[in-house]
Amino acid sequence: MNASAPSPDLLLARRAAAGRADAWDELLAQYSERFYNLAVHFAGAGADAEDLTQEICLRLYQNLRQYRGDVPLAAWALRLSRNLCIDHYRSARRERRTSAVSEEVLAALPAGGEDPQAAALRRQQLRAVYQALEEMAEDAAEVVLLRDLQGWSLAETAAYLDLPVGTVKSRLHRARLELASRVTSRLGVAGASALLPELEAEPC
Amino acid sequence: MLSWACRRFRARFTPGSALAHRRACPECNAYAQAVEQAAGARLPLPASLRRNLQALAGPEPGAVLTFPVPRLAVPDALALRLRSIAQPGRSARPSRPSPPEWVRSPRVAIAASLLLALLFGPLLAGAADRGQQALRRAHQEVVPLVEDAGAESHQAVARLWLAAGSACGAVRESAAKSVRRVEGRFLDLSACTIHWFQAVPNHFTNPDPRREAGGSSRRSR
Repeated sequence: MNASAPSPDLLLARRAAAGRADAWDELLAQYSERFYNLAVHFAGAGADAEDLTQEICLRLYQNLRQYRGDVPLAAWALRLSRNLCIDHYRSARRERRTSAVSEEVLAALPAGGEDPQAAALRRQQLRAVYQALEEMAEDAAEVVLLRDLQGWSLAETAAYLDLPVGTVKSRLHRARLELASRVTSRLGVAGASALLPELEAEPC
Repeated sequence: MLSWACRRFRARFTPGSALAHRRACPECNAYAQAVEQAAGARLPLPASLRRNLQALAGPEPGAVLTFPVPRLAVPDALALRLRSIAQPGRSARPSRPSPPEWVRSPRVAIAASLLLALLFGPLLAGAADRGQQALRRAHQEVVPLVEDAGAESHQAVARLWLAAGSACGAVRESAAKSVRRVEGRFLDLSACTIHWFQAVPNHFTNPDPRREAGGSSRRSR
């Protein structure tokens, strides 16, 4: 295939935009889980997250013909709904001051071997991270959420935020440092040591 | 047996390329669609395999967590709702054509502003002037009527006249002031617009204004 050939995302989007139900199903199989998990983090689990996921997919479907394949499809789809996601995120931050992480996410957390104490520690650490994120500025919290907690690539995060990759890297580094200090002050040095490995030494 | 044109098309075809023969030959069109579908198909990774692979990778250097945040599966009811989005009756919005160059050029926008100012300036100034003339005419018609009125109503009419006169004077003064201000503004605007028009370089155009239409939330914060 030559260099100018359209990306698989673009081909898939074109087929789905042409009304091919199988292409839409394939697109959902690839991306709906990512949309849903991000919606859970933006809106909290339950009906709100489901509604947000549906809204994201609806906007994606309605705008598929505008997709040019220059950015990853998932990031492009979420950029279409960014204002909506931000609105949900703000209201979730307002309403859930004490417990930001969804109980469903905590319940799905791997046990970490047979040690129940280790599992409890992980839950505590995850709660601490989310609570610290709630106290941080939205821009910083968002980039950590996408990159570290959702596992997005730098290119996808940059495409979603509509920023250059270099800016995302520097913002991420600052956000991680701030998060580290907040989690350390919350859990103490011993509790936070399992988190944030080599953060000071490794920029991004 | 395939014709020479079909063989040539299939040899040269790559997904996404637009060759004329495809439209003319239904068999080659079907072949092209199959190739495109195969090129675009990506099999989803089984969830268990994905988890195992993620566990192998370990945490990224500098990541905030040493363990992955668990992924939730899409609920079945939601999956059905999402699939129903692509119903036959509901089609994706048609692609909007790109706006013409003359809409995107700031030079044209400045020229249009200048044209509008020149067109509507005299019109607005003329309207204010006509209002002033109407007031003057009303004044001329009311004065003889008042003078002809009976002696006994003179006092009441005089009070009314005083009030009306002062109001009329205020309106007239205000209208005259507005006319002067509008004329002044239009003169300034014309001078500035010509200056701006000359200041904008030819090559400076907004490449794609629709990119702004998506609306960055950072701007609205």
